[in-house]
Amino acid sequence: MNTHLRSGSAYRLNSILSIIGACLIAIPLSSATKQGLARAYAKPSLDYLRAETPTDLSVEKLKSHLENLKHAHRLAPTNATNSAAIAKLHQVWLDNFLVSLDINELLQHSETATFFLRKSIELQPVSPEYWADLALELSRRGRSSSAEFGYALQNAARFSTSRQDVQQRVIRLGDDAGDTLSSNAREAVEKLIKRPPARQSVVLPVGVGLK
Amino acid sequence: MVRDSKEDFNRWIFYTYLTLLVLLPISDAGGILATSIVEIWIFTSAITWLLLLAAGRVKLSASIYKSWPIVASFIVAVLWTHLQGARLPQSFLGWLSPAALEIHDVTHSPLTLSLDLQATSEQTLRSGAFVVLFCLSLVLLASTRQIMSLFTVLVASGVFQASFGLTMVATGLEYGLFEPKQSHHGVVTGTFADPDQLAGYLCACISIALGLLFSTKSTARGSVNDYILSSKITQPTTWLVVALAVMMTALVLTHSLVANVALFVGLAISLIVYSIRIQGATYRSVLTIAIVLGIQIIGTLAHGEPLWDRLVSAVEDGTRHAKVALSVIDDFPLTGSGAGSYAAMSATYHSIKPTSDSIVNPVSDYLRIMAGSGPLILILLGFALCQSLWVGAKSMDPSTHKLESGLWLGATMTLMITLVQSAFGSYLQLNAIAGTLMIALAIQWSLARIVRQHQHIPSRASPLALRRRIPSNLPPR
Repeated sequence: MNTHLRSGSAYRLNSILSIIGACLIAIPLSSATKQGLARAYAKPSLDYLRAETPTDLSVEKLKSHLENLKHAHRLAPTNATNSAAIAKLHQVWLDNFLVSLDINELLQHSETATFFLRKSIELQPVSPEYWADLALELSRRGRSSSAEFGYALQNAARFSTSRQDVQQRVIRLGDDAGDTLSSNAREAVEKLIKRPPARQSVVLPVGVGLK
Repeated sequence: MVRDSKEDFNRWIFYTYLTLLVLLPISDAGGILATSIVEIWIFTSAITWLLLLAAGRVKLSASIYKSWPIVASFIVAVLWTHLQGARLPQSFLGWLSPAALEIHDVTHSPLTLSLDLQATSEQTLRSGAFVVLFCLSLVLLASTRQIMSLFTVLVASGVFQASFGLTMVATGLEYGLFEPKQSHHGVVTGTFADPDQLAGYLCACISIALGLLFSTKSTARGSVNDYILSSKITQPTTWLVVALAVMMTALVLTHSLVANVALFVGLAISLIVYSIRIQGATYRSVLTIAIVLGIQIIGTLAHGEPLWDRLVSAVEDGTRHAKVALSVIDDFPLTGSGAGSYAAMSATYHSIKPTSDSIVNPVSDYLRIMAGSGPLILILLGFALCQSLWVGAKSMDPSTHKLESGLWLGATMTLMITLVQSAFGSYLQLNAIAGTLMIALAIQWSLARIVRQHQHIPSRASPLALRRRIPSNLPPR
């Protein structure tokens, strides 16, 4: 009788533990499903943005890509690539359909792009590309004299050790800003100009400078 | 005759698990979306199995109880990876990782140990999935028959990859999985994007096939000669030899230096241990090493560039990348810069590109893990590996059945080869190799339990009980 009771309670305990285990694994399963769906939603838009010359460039196309990317962002908010892609699509919109936009729409596109770039930077603070994109967006809005622009340029320069394309963008943005640039940002840009990519040492003092 | 429903459920879950093994190498070609599918597959299989266990439809294997320290260390590793993405108080972060705090101060980003939250969250999910795969392997690989089935599927998957790659090169079609190859024309890549990736996977499959070969034939000297002379096309061993020939040909044609070195070193170490533990296997071990070395030498000679030049170039490339990894480790010594963040971090430290056109990063997995996740994870993984290898080797002795010792040899060779490969490149980033590593670890525990069970039968059970408990799937000694 006792043995029967013991085996019965052991079985119940086993069942309860198994169900708890299943519930615990359901948490990463739900995350994996969300990430998978987000990737599926974002893939066509990311491929579209990666193409050197985007084909079929129209407002409808941009709208549908934005819709997909926003779905992806809702499903996986920690995905910096999707946030940056949303910002990029708004920038493409501004670049190609500027004349058809009124002032409110223009501001809205620009603000959304800035918002999503800040979001990407929060998730990947060492990405020089996001910093350079943010600096570009701020300069477009005529905020080249702001502290945020200076920060963005400085960080883009700091983290762009292996990215010559970003370094060139930083130098160009620094030139465009001229005297309005903060002293720290100007120093960072000058450093890049003085030490062009071809003459950079293998290990730049990014890590060393942190200490 | 009424069919046992428990057997049915077990079988279906096991088939799902075997299908996953075929999907793993294909997922490496399918990009990040395919990785999500693999993760969902693993988690769903585990949940289904647990629900069946709760309903009393499947049984829990004893291996999972015995291996609790390994499971616990893996869980701690996943929790640590998760913690790297969590926001921490400023003082605590400053104490754990001053460099991370300094970067967050400059960039005004959330105070986390990780400097790439996206990569860290992806890495946490991936690590979690592989830990679950390890546990799933422990509970599903409960008999030698199941391990044999697993080995057969792995060999079949390796042969598929090898023949697919060879066909694409021979016919000039040069396709990857579904699209034409972007690079590496004339080199065997299978469904992978890169020949080094295929070579890494083939090494694991070759060692599994060798393990199967050792488990099917006697270790006596005469038997090898007898086998060679009397082989028939219907014998499973003949198919294994054909499979090995196909995979070795593809491996040689990948021109992968690291994989060839890893295969030879891993094979040699495992066979030496095997010869020590299982007496009478020396002749066969030496013969196998000689054959593999011979094929590799022929392959090296066939490759135009001198071996010495290739070695020097590989060492120079590896040293330059190792310096970058060491710089990252120097700045983030205690906690790393966040699991999976190495790609983003290393780009801020250097302006070098690999001299070879390989996609496999020439940074050692050990350095990458140390730079991303910190020393804690490396210690936990090292403990899991050493403990599993020790348990497996300890269970083997001259009285062990050749089937079990052969399977153990296959799993051990896979582990050794992966360990050597990981010293030279980022092979554990591939789902196929990381998955095979976890399975090989689980096999060590499963085999140790199976061997222990068989060894304890004569001393503890009556002849009648003995007859009842001997598994029917074991061939006679």
